Order: sequence, then structure tokens, then C-alpha cells
Amino acid sequence: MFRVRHDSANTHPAKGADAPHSHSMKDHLKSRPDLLDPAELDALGGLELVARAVVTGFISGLHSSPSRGFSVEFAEHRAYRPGDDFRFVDWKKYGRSDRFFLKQYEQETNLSAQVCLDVSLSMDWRSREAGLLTKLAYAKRLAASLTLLLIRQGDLAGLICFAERVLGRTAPRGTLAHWTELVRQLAAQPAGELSAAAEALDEVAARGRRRGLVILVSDLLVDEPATQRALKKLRHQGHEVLVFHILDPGELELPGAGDAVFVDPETGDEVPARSAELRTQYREAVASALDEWRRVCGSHKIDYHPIATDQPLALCLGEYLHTRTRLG
Amino acid sequence: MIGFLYPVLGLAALAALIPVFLHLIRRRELHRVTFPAIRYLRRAEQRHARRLRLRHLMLLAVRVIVILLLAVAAMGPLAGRGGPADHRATALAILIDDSQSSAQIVGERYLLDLYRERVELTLELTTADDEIALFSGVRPDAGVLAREPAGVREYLRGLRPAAGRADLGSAIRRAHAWLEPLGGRAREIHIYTDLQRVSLPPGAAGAPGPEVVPLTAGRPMTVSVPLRWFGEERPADRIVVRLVVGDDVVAVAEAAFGESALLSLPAQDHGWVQGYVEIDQHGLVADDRRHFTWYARPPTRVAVLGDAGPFLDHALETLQRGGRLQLESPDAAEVWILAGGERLEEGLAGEVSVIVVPPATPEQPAGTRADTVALRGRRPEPRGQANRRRRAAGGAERSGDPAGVSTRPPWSLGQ
Repeated sequence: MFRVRHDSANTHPAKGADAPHSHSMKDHLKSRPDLLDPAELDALGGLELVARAVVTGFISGLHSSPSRGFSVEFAEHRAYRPGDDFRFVDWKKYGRSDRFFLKQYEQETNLSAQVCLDVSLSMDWRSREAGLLTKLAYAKRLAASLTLLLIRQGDLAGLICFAERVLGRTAPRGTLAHWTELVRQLAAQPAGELSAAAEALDEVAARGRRRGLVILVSDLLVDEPATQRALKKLRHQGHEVLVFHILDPGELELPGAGDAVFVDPETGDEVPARSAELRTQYREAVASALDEWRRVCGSHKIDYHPIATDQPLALCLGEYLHTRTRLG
Repeated sequence: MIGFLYPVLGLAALAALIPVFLHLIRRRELHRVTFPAIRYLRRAEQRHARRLRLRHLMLLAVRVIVILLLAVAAMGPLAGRGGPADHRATALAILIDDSQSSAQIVGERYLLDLYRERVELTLELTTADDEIALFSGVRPDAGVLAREPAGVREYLRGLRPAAGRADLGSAIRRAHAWLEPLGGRAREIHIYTDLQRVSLPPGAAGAPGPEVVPLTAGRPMTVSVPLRWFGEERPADRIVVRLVVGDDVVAVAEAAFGESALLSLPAQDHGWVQGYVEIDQHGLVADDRRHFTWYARPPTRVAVLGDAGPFLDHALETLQRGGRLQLESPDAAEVWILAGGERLEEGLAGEVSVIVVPPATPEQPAGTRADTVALRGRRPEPRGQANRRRRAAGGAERSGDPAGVSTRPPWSLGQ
């Protein structure tokens, strides 16, 4: 089964907190906007502000986390000062000089990441108006946050928006000015029509001479065999591939109870059905599809992460971090 | 086979088309929902399409069947009445109430004709294995009048209303006696009657015995019609009561419920008088009309032979004034009143009714008294004479000689 839903007490501490702890939880969430509900987070402002807040909160969380030390390599030594962490003491140098020195690291700058964002019509949908972002809005916030995190780490970040064809592309660069331009492009990007993920991925494969990280953000309502074939091709070229499968909660459970004609916004395809009769079978079909994606991606060492739009962006960033750590 | 009481209600079966129609148009009237993940929905539907289709068809079939069953139930199915061979061997006693009331006209037909028609319907359903017997409600003592369908039909063709009342109790007992030895068959008694009160035993179903009303031909009389109300709130207003003889309204009166309407019945000719009394519609319509049949006959012709005395003469004159009898000569009379036994032998030998009364004087001619005693087996000693003899004998009667004592009336009735 897929791991889309998670314990809300972990991601939304304030929701599950008892009254005596609610105040401290609120303070905690103020410093960790990446853990906020995406719809609540949207109140912060535009795409750029949201992405900055998310990434800032996420990085501050990392410093307090024991899982630190990603994408860094040794740069120089520094004399120990009271209060420094003993874990960074270079004990070999202490053995030779009988003095305490700390290792200093500097970030890598040679990773080129390309975010492929699906802006098709199926992404511009949400199952309810209140408390949910559309899949496209969520994906845009995720893309902005990821690229900011990449650039802050010293990596290069680029963006490709695709629908029935590639609608916009930004070459990977590592400056904040580039990120600002990238966010502006994201914000202005309207929804397209059909989804041709395979073409976008093929274009990345064709243009990307240098091995790097390819992040696909899509609802994967695409030509599945072609898309899977394109993903395999990227892997074959030596790229690391990370797939974020964006799902609306209303797609995980069939909405409504009565008879209705369900219409595909992209193709206009219609399926008359009674929700109450098909709910169980639909749930099984979704689970089967996600398992298939997980199996295909897993067999080619592609990181696959289904994410629902009511989950905090920190989860996605954490998954990215996990992949990035593996890359070294 | 199955017959139906109300076949026209079979049209309700057309309602079975409603779920079919809804099933066909259901998918056209659904509201539309935008849903991107339609591919998963289609997969789910395709995977279970056969089961869903089967479920829908079964649901449709159940709805149609329920409606059809309701329609069949509304038609009133009669199992086992559909054909001649659809019952086991039966012993059937047909009891026809051919009393005077069967001559009543219902609609445009005689009631007896309706009986014949219904009996014919029953006979058409009989088979060669069935035992059939016809009984008369008027003549229960006559036993089985006809057997087998052909015989029953033949008898019924010649049957006419009898001049008498039915005795359904006796007739049913007779039919039951006929059915009793036929225990190996299904046994049925079909009774065709209008359930006149006079055809039931007195006191049956709590009903009082019939009231006998004399009707004399050629003389008007007053008929009292009591109006009873069986509902909870008795209307206080007076209603019109009509007396109809044949097709003519012969009398009209007004009365309230709980009272009796007095209606003047004009003089009727000699013979049967059929008619009814009716009120305007009140409550149950069936209660608003009561049929009757009277036999109007002329007053009884009576002749007085001998000196009956002033009291009897006065009584006969009163009855004559009231139209109850007509004093005639002995040759034209139906009833002789003999005072003193004159022409007694002649009267007894004839067809007249004879009433012997005490003579106006206590003295009786010798021999006449003895003849009367011989005829009746009684001691026709006049009361005054016996008393005088009792006083003359003193205590002799008390000594144990009752031979000369009579405690019976000195007159008797004979025909």
C-alpha cells in the first residue's frame, strides 16, 4: 500500500496537541512553517514568500536534527572555541598537535537539478474549495521550495513546465536571482491541456549531458508506459530521478454517494458510475496504480513519493533531502 | 389455471414499465462531476462491470417482479377456479330458494333467473367425477329434485317461484344429510337465496320471527313502517317514506328515525302484492329499501248455523265491519259456525271449516252432545249443567266417582 497519509500528530503537532502544550506547539509551528498545512501556509503570501518560509523553516529544523551533514566536503580547520560541538573535533590532529581543531566544510556546487513540473489541466483541480490547494498550486509551491533549497545548498536548479508539450524551460543556475526569476515564471505559468510527461523527460535526457538530478512533479495521469520508458532512459543516462506523485485527497477516495457522470477535464472522457457501489473497487484501483508506479520506479532505483495535497511541504523536502544525501 | 376477480386491475401491471424506463433514462439525467483520476474509476468499473451490471439487472428484475405481484394481488387471483379439470372429485349440493321472493325483479330480470345463471356457471365447472344434487328451499321434504348437470339444468328450466316461504334450515339439513355419506370427496353446499327473514328459522341470527300482516283484498288498510337508525348519531330531521306497489308510489308519509310512518295502502285486488318501502338515501344505501310480498285475499266467508247468541253475533258483525270476514249463506261460506251441532255431519263431510260453539241456551238436544263426544273423544257436558249436577250430588264426587265430571270446555273445533 502507498504511504501517502501519515500521522497528523507528527506533521501537525498543534492539531493533536493537548491543551498544556498547545502554546509551545504554536511557537514551534511559527518557526517551522514547512510543517503547516499547505492551505494555511498559502496565507503567508505569494509563491516566493511561501517557498522562502518553507525552506527557512526546513533548514532550521535540520540544524536541530541529528541527521545533518549533507552535500558538504572538508574545507579547512578552525581552532576550538568553548561551546563548539565535540563531534566536529579532528581527533587525529589533536593526537599529533595536542590542540583542539574543528573541521570546517564547504558545500558542493556541482549538482545540477532539473525540476519537471506537470501543469496540465488535470493538475488544476481540487476536490473541495475549502482547505485544499489545487494539485498545480501545491506542485508550484513544492517546485519553488525545492529549487530554493537546491540553490541554498549551492546546487544548480532549473525548471521545465510541461503540459501537452513543454511550455517553459529555465536552464539550471545557482543564484538567488535565478531562483527569483524561476519563481516568477512559476507563478505566471497557466495550466495547459493534456499531459505529455514523456516528451518533457525526453527533452531533459536530450539536453542534459551532465549527470544530475531530475525531479518529476506530476499527478502521473499521463501516458504511463511512455513516461516510465522516459524515466528508465534518464536512469540509463546516469541521472538520479525523484518522482513526486501529487494526489488530491479526493482522488484517493471516490467522492459523493449517488449516481453521477465523471468527466475527465483533459480528454472529456465520461464514466457514469454510482460512487457508493464503486468506492471499494476504486480504492483498490488507486492502490494498484500506486503500487505499480512504486514497483516500476523501485526496479530502476527511482525515488517515488506519493504526496497528498493536504500534507505539509516538509515531507517532500525531507524526501528530497534523503535522495540528495544518497547522492553525496 | 387461475381466474381473477378483477381482471381489469391487470392494467396496473403496466406500472412495471416504470422501473424499466427509469433504468434506461437513469444514466442520461445524472449530474456531471469533473474528476481527473477517471482512469482509476474506469479500471474499477471495468474490473467489476459484469458484477455491477448483474446487480443492476437483478435490482431491476426485483422491482418489476414486486410491481407485477402487486398487480396480480390486486386482480384477486382465484386458484383452482380456472377450469373444469382443476379440482378433485366433489359432491355438490345446490340449494335454490325458489320461494315467492325469487319472483322479485332485480334490474330487469327475475331473481330466479339470476339463480339459474349462477348455477349454470357452477355446472360448467363440474366434471364427470362430481356428484351433483339439487334441493329446493321451499320443499325441503321433497329431497333431491335432480341429479347430474343435465338433470339439474332440465329441472331449473321448468322451475317457477313457489307460493310459499323458504325453510332454509331444513333444506340445509337435508343437503347435509345427502353429503354426509360422500366423505371421500370434497363436499360443498351452494345456496342461492336472497336471505329473506322468513326463510330463516325464528330467532336465527338474533332476528325476531316474521310479523304476519293480514291483507284483505278490496279494502284499504294502514301500514306501519318503523324507521330504525343503526348509526351512532341519529338524525333528528324527518324523512319521506314511500310505499311502492309494482311501479307506482301508492303512499307517502313523513317520520323521524325511531318513529313509525303510517302509510295508507289502497285496496288491492285478490292475488299477490309485490312492492317495497323506501326512504331517501341515508347512511347505507342497502338499508334504504325493503321489499315485501303480500297475498291479498277476500274476507273469509262465514255462515252461522243455529242461534249463536248475542255475544257471538256481535263479534261477527264487528269482524264483518272490519273486513275480516263476510257473513254468507251456508252454501257460499267457507266456514260454518255451528251453534248446537246442527248439520255437523254435513259440515264435516264437506270442504268447509266447522266451528262448534256452545248454544245460546244451556240446554242441548239429546244425542247431539253424544255425537260430538264420539267425534272428539271428549265429554261435551255443558259447564252449567255439570255444576248443577255437582251441587245435587253433594259429596258424591268427592267419594271417588269422577265419571260424570268434565274439566274440559264443552265445545271444540273441527274440520
